[in-house]
Amino acid sequence: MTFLHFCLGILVLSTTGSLVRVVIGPTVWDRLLGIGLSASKITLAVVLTAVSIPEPYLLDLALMFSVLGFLVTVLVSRYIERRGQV
Amino acid sequence: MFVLAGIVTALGRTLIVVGLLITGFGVYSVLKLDNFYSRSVVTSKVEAMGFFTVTVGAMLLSGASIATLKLLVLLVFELLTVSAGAHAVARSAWISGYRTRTVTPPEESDADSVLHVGITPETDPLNDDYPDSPAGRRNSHG
Repeated sequence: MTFLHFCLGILVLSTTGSLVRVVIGPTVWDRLLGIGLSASKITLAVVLTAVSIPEPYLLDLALMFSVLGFLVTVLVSRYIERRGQV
Repeated sequence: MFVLAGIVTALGRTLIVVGLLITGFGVYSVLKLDNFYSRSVVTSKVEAMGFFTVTVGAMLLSGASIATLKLLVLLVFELLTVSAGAHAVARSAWISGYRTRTVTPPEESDADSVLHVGITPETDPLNDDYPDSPAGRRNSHG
């Protein structure tokens, strides 16, 4: 039960909580909020793994995933507000 | 010198645990609040704060290496994009007509010094009759 295992356990619980909001959320914007939160928490999990076992190349993965999470949030919300035109 | 390394490691681990607790608090409030706009307000603040704290703690843990520079780039990018993403979602909800309180037009009152706020027909985004409102502009483009 090292420090990394403890932190990853907390992050898994938080990600599951955000995904509950994606499943339940009565509107589509609640689901977008949950997806953004889950992407951020997965980025944090990759960052913690890259720092604890010192493998710095995993940080490139974290950077790409945060870019993708942001793009998904902004582009899907834009698609919804313009009723089908991106 | 070794004592300093131990202090920096302990400080980094403390910051990471504090950041994870902040993030957990944000998740609890997202599950507990009533409507979408309240959840959006809490999410944008808490997520940025938690991410910042965890990343600073990770930078302290990894010392002086290339990983610290990469984490700095990640931190700056995340701080810039969390606000923009939350604003895009809230704006999309507002323009599509999702309301949680009814907005009433300004009423006629006796006091002239009352500041009238509210949605007038010209600025109502759901009103198709006026060409200046966002809905009217959309209809004129076909």
